[in-house]
Amino acid sequence: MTSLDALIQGFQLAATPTNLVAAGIGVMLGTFAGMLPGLGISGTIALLIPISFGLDPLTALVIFGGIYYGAAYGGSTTSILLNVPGEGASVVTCVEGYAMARRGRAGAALSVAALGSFFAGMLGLVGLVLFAPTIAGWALAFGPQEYFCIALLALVVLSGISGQSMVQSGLMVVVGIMLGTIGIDPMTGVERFTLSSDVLLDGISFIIVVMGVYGMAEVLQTAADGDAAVSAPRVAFRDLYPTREELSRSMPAIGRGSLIGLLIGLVPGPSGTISTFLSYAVEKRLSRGRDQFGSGAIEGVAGPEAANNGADTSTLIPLLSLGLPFNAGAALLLSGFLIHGITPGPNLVNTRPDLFWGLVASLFIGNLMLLVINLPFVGLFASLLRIPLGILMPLVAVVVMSGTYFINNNLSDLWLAVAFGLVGWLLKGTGYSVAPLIIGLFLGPLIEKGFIQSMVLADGSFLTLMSRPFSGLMLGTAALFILVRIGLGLRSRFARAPLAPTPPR
Amino acid sequence: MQKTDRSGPSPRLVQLVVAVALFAGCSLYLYAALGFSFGAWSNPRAGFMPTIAGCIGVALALGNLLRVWRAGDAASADLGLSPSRALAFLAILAGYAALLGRLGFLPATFGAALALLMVSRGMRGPVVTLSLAAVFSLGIWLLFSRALDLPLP
Amino acid sequence: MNSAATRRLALAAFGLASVAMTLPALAQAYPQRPIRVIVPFPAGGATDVMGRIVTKAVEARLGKPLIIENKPGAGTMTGLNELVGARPDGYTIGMVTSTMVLQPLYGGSRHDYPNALQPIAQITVTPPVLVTGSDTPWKTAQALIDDAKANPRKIKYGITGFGNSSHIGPTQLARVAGIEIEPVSFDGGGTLLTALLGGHIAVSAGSTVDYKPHIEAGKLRPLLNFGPERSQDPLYKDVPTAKELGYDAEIVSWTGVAAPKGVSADVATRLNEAFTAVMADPEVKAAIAKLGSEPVHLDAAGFGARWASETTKLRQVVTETGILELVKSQRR
Repeated sequence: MTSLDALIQGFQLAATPTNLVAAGIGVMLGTFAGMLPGLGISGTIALLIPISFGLDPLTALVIFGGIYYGAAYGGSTTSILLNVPGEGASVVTCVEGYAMARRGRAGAALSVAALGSFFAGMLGLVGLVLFAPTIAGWALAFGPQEYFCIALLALVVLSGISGQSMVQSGLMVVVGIMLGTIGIDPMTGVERFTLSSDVLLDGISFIIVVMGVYGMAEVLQTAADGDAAVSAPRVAFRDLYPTREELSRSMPAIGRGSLIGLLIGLVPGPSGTISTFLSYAVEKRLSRGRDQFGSGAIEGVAGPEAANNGADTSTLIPLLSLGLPFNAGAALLLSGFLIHGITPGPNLVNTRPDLFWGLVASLFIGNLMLLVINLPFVGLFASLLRIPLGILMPLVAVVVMSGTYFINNNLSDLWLAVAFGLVGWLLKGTGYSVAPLIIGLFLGPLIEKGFIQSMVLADGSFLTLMSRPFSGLMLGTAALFILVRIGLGLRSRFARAPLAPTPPR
Repeated sequence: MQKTDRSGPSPRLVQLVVAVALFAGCSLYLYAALGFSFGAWSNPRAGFMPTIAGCIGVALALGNLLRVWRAGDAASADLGLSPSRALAFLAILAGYAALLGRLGFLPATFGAALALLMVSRGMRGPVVTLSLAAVFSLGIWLLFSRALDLPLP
Repeated sequence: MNSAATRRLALAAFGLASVAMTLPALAQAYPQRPIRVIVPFPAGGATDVMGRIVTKAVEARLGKPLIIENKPGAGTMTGLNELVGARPDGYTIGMVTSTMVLQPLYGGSRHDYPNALQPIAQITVTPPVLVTGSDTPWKTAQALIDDAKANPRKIKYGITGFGNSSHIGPTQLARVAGIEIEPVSFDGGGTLLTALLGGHIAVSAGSTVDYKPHIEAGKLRPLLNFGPERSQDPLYKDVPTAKELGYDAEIVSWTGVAAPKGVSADVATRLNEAFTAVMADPEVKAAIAKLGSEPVHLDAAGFGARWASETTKLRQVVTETGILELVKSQRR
């Protein structure tokens, strides 16, 4: 039986009325969970586990699959409208998406995000159907050495994302890395920099920092601007949807973003977040609207959103064909299997083809549903921005605070959210960009882990890093990148020197 | 935007304070990092990454402090027209964090929403402010506790 | 019947009822309201799902809802600390795992958990199993040991954290077999399993639950069981224990339920009874077994005895094997 026949059978299973309704419910719940900052997929699953005991395994999986997809998409909504990222992968969407919303192009940003997610998701699913075993093999070929090199390359490429001076962005990256070392070290079990406080024992949760320095800081900034803060301009219904020019600019970005996402999704860890940042960095250099970056370039929304869904989809490949969850969302799906006594793994396709293909088919259906359900709502969501900021922002602050609680059901996390709100507001207000801080925070632990593991595995020889083809390539690219950066920096300094000499002191 | 209207400390002072705080933070971090064993390049231990990050951080923070000191202009600093309002927001949110566990979700959320709305809207339309806070806090309480059945503090 | 008689009758009935309420002590009265169950893992993990199965059944017996609260983080310590700090009135209980005995030994925890908590019931026991990728040359544990003897420090094994059961088992084995193998730390079972399947790490000792599908698929080969006796599971029943091969190495992982210390005797008895009854229920056992764990119940007294004996035994083990020193050496 070929994959295609099996997939058609899967569609027959997934297209029963019950399972179609289940997919619809899952997609809606997921979108909703993604939108509520902090709730996320793991919060939603906690609600659903007790209910799913009574359901048919495939129906339960279809709901979980819908949530998985919906949450990846829903995160973009609050980022674009309110500058509140609900998860790490939506951070980048905030930058250009929120700027677009301020210009009155929220509808266009939301639509393009939906289209990008849809395209990347579909592409990933086709890849899953056709090449799952091959691709899963690639995922296994990456060892700690490769993870280390990928993380290092990402750090080098991404730390320049903000366009501020090298000292400033470097400092922010390092501060992020420092924050990432707080808490119990997962490698050695040693407690580091916790100041003997229970609040810091588990480290500073990435998502709390993100919600603080983006969401909270935005609330504080608007409050400080007071009456000077301007609401987004009102737009006619017709202007809610992207123009032809915006669409044609987004297409290449979506294509590149999807590919980046699909590849990075095969790397264990926060692949969604890394892929969105990488896609942003790529678009900033390659896209037609690169000079608009920072003031709302549509490519900066389309690319990362496609990358995010691409990564989420290709993460399903190692999950379904190897039984290995590479991120929190995939771990959630895995638990959906476990509840029903099914362990996904290399044998799943053979032992339970009904479940495997039924789920894959339902993901196709869910992906389409997401697009169909969400596009009409774009107008409704965008109209949220008509609420005066003086009313909207206080309410957003409360929602962010309660969302922070739901991340770990921990009251002390609220203090961290407030503290990072202050930090983010002060840093932004004094001319620092917080994006490099976020990058340092999530890449730092990966680099530390990868390096320690590589060194022990290689008996302390740096040569293993160079001699493995993939990691060597990554390291070479990183080195090249640094050289080019320094070269460009020197050139611009010499070019500018005669025009603006620094006053002697 | 008229710069004369602004309240609070001068942007340059804030900029300097932030730069000094970053430097102090990095130095303290490095000091604490030295309390862990570095290991060796071939066999890194718990203090490996923190020590390296600390050293680079202190150097960069010092460079940054010098930059801010010499730059002398506050063009890139903008804390808004009334930073005191943001500070009031912070105080209310900190109060919310402190009282959420003691008062329960609904009263604390109502109080925080009311206080925040009063700060941002001033004294105009007290009835509107009150009803907004009431409707909103009741709304999200119903959403969280009834519709989603989440464990509330 | 006149109204006075009615009133007298009602009073008598009320009196009787109140006597009936108070007589069989307060144990009948417990639980009056929902019981909070702290699970120190995120929602959806194996321990969480197990907790949900068991508490659902206990709920039916106690007549009040048991509400799961996930407090993940810091290698279960976030949840454990909260459990220790809760009021010992029987309305807060929590899931515990074998790490609660180990963490205090390394001095990294806020509380001495075995003394700050009160046992209620053990639910499962899982011995770590030493596995290797199916492409490696080692067909048996003995082959691995011989190879390690011939090539000191060549073989690396994966662990999920310094000083936990995945580290202790192989270290004990290395010590008694006189071989040198090196641990590589991973930040979780998932990443370790990925590295194991990809051939980046040679062997590792981990949970039978995690390895099951991969052994079934022929991607991993079980070599050695660190439990006290062979597993009942057909998949593992041919895997010898370390003791059988003549190596004195033994460690198991378990999960159970505990309360903060100081719960009154009545409440403790009631909880003990409820969990004992539930763990005898074949349906609950089947549900746990379906997850891949072995349901092995111990009552409050037995579970407490296990805490005490393991604390003593493991303190000796981590000192002898040098693990304690390794953990301490991370600080200066």
